[in-house]
Amino acid sequence: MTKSTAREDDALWAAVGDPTRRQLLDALLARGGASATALAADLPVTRQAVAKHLAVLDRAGLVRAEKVGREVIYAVRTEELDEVSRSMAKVAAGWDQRLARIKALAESSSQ
Amino acid sequence: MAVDSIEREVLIDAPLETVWAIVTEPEHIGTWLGDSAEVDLKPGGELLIKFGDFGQANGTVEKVERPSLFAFRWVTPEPDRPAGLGMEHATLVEFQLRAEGDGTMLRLVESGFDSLAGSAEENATLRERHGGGWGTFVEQLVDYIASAKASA
Repeated sequence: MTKSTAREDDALWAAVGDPTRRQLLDALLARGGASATALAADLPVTRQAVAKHLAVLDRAGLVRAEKVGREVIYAVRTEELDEVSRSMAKVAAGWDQRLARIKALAESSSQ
Repeated sequence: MAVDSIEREVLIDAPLETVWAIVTEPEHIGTWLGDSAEVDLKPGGELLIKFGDFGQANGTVEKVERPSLFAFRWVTPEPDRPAGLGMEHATLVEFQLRAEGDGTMLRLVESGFDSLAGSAEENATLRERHGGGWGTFVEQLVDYIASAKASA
């Protein structure tokens, strides 16, 4: 992913803020790569809806599309999603998770 | 307990001074809270916590009473509000520390949700989210990606 701009931040929030798109990411991770048609068979949404969600994920840089024969195969850009999800884990964390991290840090550094 | 606040307590098996350092020093805050942090550790000092591509939290240090009280006001980045909002969107975060045996009791209070500039519904949503709402999903995602990469 290129250096972030306000526009990309918005695209990223929009991409991961939607439950269907998170399901799509899960399905893509499980399959490795898949066409919109194959994904629509996995999820309770139409192929058209899947294509729209994939376009949003693509704009956010989380998936890539590759033409294979007559099909377009989508795959998760694992490195990007890894980096994004780590930052997201921090921004989305509640205090329980933060206090657990403080506890772990303090206890490991006092041993 | 007031609905306006989030309150948590955790008992830590480490001395007060160690916990104080981790809670207040920028290089530690940049580990447990954000990706990096800049904190001018004195009342009125500026606080900046970065969350990668998700933006940053801006705020002001309110109280530094070593080793028992650290408080700051902050405006957090949220999916449903624009970046760069003013302090009328800030909540108050207080860390209270006290020795308990050989360990430390750390108490967290985040308050001021009811008096934020957003609507009552927006403020309630924010309080829920800060309390721990959607973080679990993301932690699962991180684990899932780690296992997907390991088996690739």
